[in-house]
Amino acid sequence: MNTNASVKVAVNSQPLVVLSHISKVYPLSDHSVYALDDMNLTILPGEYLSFMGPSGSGKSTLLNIIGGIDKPTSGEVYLDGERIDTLKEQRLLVIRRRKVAYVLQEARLFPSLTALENVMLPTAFVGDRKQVRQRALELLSKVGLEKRANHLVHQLSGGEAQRVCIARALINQPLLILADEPTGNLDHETRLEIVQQFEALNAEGHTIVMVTHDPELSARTRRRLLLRDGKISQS
Amino acid sequence: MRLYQLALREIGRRKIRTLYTASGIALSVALLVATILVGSAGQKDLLLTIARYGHSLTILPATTMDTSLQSFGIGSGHYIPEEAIPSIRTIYDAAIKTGWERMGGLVLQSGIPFGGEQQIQEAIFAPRLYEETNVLDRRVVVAGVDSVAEYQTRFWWEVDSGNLMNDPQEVMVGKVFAAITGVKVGDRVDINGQSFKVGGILRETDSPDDYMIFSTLPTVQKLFGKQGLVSLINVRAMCNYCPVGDAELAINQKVVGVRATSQREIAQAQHKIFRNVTHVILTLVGLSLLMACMAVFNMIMGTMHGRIREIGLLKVLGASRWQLMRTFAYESIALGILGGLIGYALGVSIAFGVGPWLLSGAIIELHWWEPLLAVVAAIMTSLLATLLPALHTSRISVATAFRAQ
Repeated sequence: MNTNASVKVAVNSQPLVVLSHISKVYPLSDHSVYALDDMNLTILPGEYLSFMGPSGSGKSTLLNIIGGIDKPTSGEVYLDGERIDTLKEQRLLVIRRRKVAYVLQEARLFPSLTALENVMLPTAFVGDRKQVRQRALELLSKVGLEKRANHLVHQLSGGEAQRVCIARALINQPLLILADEPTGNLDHETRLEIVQQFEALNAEGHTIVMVTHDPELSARTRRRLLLRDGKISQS
Repeated sequence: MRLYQLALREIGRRKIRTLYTASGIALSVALLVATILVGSAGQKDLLLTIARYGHSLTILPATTMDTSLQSFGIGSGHYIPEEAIPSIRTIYDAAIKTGWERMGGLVLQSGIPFGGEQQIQEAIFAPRLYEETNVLDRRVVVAGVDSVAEYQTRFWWEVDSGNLMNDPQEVMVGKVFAAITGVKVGDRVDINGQSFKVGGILRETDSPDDYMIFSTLPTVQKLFGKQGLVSLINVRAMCNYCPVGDAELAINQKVVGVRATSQREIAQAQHKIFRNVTHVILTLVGLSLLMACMAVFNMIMGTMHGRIREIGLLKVLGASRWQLMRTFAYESIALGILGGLIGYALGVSIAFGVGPWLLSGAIIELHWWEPLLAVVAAIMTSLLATLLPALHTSRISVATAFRAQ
């Protein structure tokens, strides 16, 4: 099992994520909706993977199940060699803190905090206080925002705010970055900036799983999967 | 980055919400503070008032068995020599001092909350000589009094017209006597063959005083040939919890020919009133705290629903339920401090504004510990009101909270 949070991992080593016969069913009054239907998937460390598909195809549900936020109705989910679909909240909390990080469609930041403080925030839950400020500054520098470190969220553009989210996702050195429509609300130029950011992170060895509607963004990932009716219809 | 920093920043950002919630706490605390301040002032005022009425002794000649008007020794030939007053005073003072020092000995007023020192002023001895005679064809009691001491013991005396007596050639008449006889200020009345000007008419007191004519003690003594004699002595103690029972016993044991009686029933009534007022105040304080909790609970419950997105994000970033609770607790404490301080200031203003209107003459007193109490009460209220909404909201699963985006 890989317990080291280092991002320097080699492609084609032990799978980072394994989904085995995953189904997610939402029961309604007269019928059930299959968000995911008997899905199998393996993601290797260092992969840069995108899911595309129409609304309701199960993309976000899949992302949440991979990240341990949601549980499948049936099937097994493994992350870094550990089965996570049966884990208690306490252990899932550790996984969310150390192994998985999210970048969401909207730049979900705390407006009362500066860019730097937003990046540092996840460390408050881990209790990690070692050189946190220095690390956060380095991450902001990595996403090109070192000069905006002390700016409040409302002083940042949409693209800058999203880059702060990316820096925040990296602060606890996760094994896996899950991005849910990370460029959804951005203009073309800013989208390109964010895409380049993800490409750079992947080049450093980060594993990135992205959900997107944007064919252009999907086309730039190394592996592209198309979801339809809860199944992978094209790879 | 620490959790309390996040909590404080979020409070600072949500100024309207913060002010709204803090004002809820502040109003409750203000009610609490005002109730305590006005209640304490009222209690103290009540104590002082009933103490002034209640802490007194009446010393009569030994053969006079009660204090009704018919037994004041009028015409009975029983008097107390004026020269005995200093020795009675000495015995009285010694008994009060001993009883006071003992604190908890023979103290008639039960329920004394604390011991401690109290400045004991000298008691006021107000002797009276009563003589019955005909004035304006009516049988009337003429009372000779020591005007200064009399005004101090009967502080409720007020004149209806004219002035309180201050001239040996003038008399003051009771309201009922004036009404019956039609005598007015400035008229002259003959008493035992001597003419006096009516200097004032006493306002109605609902006591035998309303039927009497008052003049100075030496004048009445001389008029009726009773120099150096008095019919009774009213003694007014000048401390809240004076052990007048001790003085009563000492005088009765040591002074031959007189009998002292204290007003035990009044002392007991004082204790009862004090206890009832305390209960009312405590009930009001309890109710105001309960209202505070409910008001703040409603406010916080409302804001929690609007914060599910934020809670979802915090959970996704790795916040545990305990950490969320701590963050809410920090916010709650900060709101409590803010609400407590504003509430204290508001409560003091209300107390000073409304207190004198509610309780005429009551003095609002401030103490160093009251702001502290206000802030602690506000924090406790805020924490109590936050606890349930925070427990409820922090229990939301990550998936549910996350979907709330």
